[in-house]
Amino acid sequence: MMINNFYKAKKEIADLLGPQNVFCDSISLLLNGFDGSPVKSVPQAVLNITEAEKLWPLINLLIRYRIPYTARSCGTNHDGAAVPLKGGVILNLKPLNKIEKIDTKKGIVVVQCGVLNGDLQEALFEKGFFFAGDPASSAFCSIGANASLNSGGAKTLKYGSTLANVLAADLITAQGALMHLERGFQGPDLLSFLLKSEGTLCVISRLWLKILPLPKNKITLQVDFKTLEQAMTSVEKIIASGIVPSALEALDEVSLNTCGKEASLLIEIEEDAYLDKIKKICKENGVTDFIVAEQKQAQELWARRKTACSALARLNKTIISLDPCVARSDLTLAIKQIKKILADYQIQAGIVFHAGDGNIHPNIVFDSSNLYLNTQINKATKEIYKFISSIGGSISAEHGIGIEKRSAMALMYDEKTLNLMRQIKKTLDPLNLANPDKILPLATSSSKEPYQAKQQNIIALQEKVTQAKELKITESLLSQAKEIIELDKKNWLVKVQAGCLVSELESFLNKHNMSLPIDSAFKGTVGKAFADGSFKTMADYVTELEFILPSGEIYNIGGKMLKNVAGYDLIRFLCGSCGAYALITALTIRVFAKGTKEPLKANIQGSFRPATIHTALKKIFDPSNKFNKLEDFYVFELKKQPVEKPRF
Amino acid sequence: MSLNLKNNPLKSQDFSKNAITFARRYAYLKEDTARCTRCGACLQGCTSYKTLNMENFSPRGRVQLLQFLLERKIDLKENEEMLLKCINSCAQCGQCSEFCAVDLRIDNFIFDLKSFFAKATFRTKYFNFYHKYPSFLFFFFTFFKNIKQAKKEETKTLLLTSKEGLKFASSSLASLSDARVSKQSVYINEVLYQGDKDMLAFILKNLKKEINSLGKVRLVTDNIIIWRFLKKFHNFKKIELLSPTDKSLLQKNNFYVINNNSFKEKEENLFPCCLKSNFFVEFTQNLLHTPANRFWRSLSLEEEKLFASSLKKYEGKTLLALCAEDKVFYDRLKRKYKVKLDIFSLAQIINGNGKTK
Ligand SMILES: Cc1cc2nc3c(=O)[nH]c(=O)nc-3n(C[C@H](O)[C@H](O)[C@H](O)COP(=O)(O)OP(=O)(O)OC[C@H]3O[C@@H](n4cnc5c(N)ncnc54)[C@H](O)[C@@H]3O)c2cc1C
Ligand code: SF4
Ligand code: SF4
Repeated sequence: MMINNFYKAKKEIADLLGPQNVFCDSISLLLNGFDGSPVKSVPQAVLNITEAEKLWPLINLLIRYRIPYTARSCGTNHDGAAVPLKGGVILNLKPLNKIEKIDTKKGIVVVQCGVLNGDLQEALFEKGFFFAGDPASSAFCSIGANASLNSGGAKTLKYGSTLANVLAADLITAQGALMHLERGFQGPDLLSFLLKSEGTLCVISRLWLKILPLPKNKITLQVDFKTLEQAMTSVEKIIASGIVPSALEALDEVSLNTCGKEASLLIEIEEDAYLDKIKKICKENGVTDFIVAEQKQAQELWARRKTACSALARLNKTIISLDPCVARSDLTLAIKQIKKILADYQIQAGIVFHAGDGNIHPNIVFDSSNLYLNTQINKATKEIYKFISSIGGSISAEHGIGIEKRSAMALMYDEKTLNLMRQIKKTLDPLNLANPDKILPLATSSSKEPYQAKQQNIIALQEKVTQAKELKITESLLSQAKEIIELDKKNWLVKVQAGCLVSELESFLNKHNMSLPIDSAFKGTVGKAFADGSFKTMADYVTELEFILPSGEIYNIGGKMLKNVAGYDLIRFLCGSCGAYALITALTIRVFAKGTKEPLKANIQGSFRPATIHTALKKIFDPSNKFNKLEDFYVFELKKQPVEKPRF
Repeated sequence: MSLNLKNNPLKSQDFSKNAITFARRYAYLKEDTARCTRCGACLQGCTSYKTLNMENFSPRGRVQLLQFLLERKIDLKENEEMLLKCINSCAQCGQCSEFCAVDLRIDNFIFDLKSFFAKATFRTKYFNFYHKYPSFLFFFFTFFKNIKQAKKEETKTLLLTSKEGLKFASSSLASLSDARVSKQSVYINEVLYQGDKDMLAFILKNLKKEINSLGKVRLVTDNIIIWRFLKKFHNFKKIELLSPTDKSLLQKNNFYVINNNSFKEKEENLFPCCLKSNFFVEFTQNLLHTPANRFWRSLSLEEEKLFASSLKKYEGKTLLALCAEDKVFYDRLKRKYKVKLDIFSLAQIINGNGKTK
């Protein structure tokens, strides 16, 4: 049926894009059906998108004819995210490679989605700026895909991953609406939520990105250790001491390809004051070599880090790169266990990792023609994911889920969370056309115990929600839930119930010489700060969220890991959701050494103006319209300025 | 001595039948191409990818294409046009191999593809024969021819273009700004001589001699391989890179432009230095479609016989083997089929133990 549909639509598509941009020959089809993963498939056509403005009519046309489509830029992701599973068409977005505007005064660039990250960095470098999203593949991957996967890199620890640096975007939702979304818009953070969907909820056409001036002072340190444990202990201690390096990377013995030393850290700091502290910590933990690199040497060291993966690839025929993420205090444990699993299955792997974020990259090298090995590796990766999930980590920190990790999602999330995500996809893309069958496990059901509330006051709240016919979500509702559950000094995280006042939390933290990333003068609870849109970017600092849906079900997303790109980003979605979607009960927030971080300022501009997409999502989260009503927000402004802004 | 190109078997044959020949002949490439992890690292330097913005025209795409061809998954008859476009849009600049994560010599694979499928007749000729170093050879021919010309015409700026396999180069190279190139490391691309030290020594020796005789010249090239190659010489430190499409600039600077037509002239022009040393090279018709040097081994018995019989036509003449493997092969043929030929390798010529006629 689908085949016929494409041929029916072919003429219209050719009229729209120009026949020279529609490719149906088998070479084009074969050459665009793969990406950096071992998965391959064949689309029905490849469409070159040469004008951003044509994406909107095109996607509407595809929806009209029910043709599945998959956005593809450079096809370098590791997980089959850009493979056209259901055939259909490939939207080749690579030709959209214009940097439209660089505004160094405001610190903003406007780029089309197909601009190579490396090209952007180069253009910015000349002007003394940089963009903080920097995957190791920056020279050959696109900004649009970076946003859609929330790619991270060495700089993520200090500057956040790609999404934290996206200010606005033009995108076409899977329902065919063209939207211009900004981070500053009130209401749930739809921008981040839609962007980070691996192309399953939207296709991005243009991005507004935050750029930063190049740091004046950069010190690169190479620190060698005899054992991996010593290195990891040092990492944990460096983090625990409150230092935030701009990068903290590690390489293991196999990746280093040296004997005698088991591990090496590569640290980049921008503050001189950190140098002595780091040196002291490393000395206490058995450092064998501590080198402060000269500029040229530093460049070489970073180049080596960036090509470490390639160097490993040479060891055998195929390489698979995993990217689990754990709490930084669990690094030693996680690495030990991963090494043990790999050794048990007799698999060769080099481990390279963003130690500062707790993100581990075991790069498995093997001979893919060996069937036995293939099954062994499948088993081993599954075991790794199982273990990571069991210690509360994430199966993917930056590469995304795609097809490869789809089934592992069932290890990380319980069934109700998976269903919630499934419903989101179903509602926002009812025909399952946008990058179909990715991210969510198709048949596997979750093996994870459903999440249960642990504290009595939360259980009471849950009951209250279940019984109520209508419930206005306000601060007073949570007046009984204001416990500070845990201060994790090792990981610089605080877990707190949503009813706790920001000022109280801050003074508690101050006693430990820590502080929140948000303005402590804020009058209200932590839950309010998160949900009412005062701090639109607060979600960048929230690693875990517990919330109750109107049905009374309780969910818990995230954990103690800093990076997590598994599944749809519900944390970001609920940031600023104004009580219309969920009752937020607890949050885990990143904290910083006092005085080292400029706190976010509360800033509410405009008000929440729900659009059709908000209503659609409301039906999933709150079908009986129990919580705060969207209608209440409509009153004045809906007519004035809807979020959906037709541009063409 | 002239060639009969009309009977180019590639042209008369059914294109789709070549798929089988190709898959058989290049079967040994299967293992190499299978090593590609599809990571995309090679995309970063590729001009054809950056200009045409499609996987079809990327090094990774071409490696995959080769894989699909070897697996006979592509119907050549239907896809001839796209196939040639994929192959011919490659500038053979070698950047991809520099970045490849697993050290694949991607541009060599593309030579293989080109040598087999390239349609333009005279291109086919040289690619097939020297497909190990086509860019070099073109450069080589052009260069000597132009130095000759320059001597006569007082043109002291040479524009070296090697458009081999690459009508498209002119457009793609335009986007390759000097800034980008200057950031790349400079070295003689291995492709040029690929471990064949004889060849390199030969080039260096003759090139230096010729260039010294010219005095001070300003060299401009649009080809990165040439650029890198010349950069290696101390007297060529200042080489500009320039787009050959910029006609006005060319005229203004009085550049001497070489185009492909140069090769269509008499054959003596092709190998002036060989002629000078009283050697000449024979191109036989059947050499056109036989695989060169290290691939001699994969010749079938019939092909071998055919080849030997064509060599017989040139009995009594001298044949120059460009690499050691060629020589081994020729020698074997000579013995096996009793062909009366003098065969010399470059090494013999350079070391002066070759016989002069
Ligand atoms: C050697 C190597 C190193 C790497 N290092 C890192 C690293 O350090 N950190 C990291 O995070 N990743 C890394 N990656 C993974 C990969 O490079 C990134 O995930 C990158 O973001 C993918 O970009 P791409 O342009 O190739 O996207 P593609 O593979 O083309 O697409 C990826 C996904 O994004 C979707 N997509 C693409 N464009 C759009 C759009 N405009 N709108 C909507 N959806 C879109 C696609 O549908 C697909 O689902 C590495 C990969 C390699 C090969
Ligand atoms: S040789 Fe040059 S043009 Fe050809 S594929 Fe490699 S990088 Fe691209
Ligand atoms: S860099 Fe090498 S391994 Fe990677 S895609 Fe290109 S050819 Fe394949």
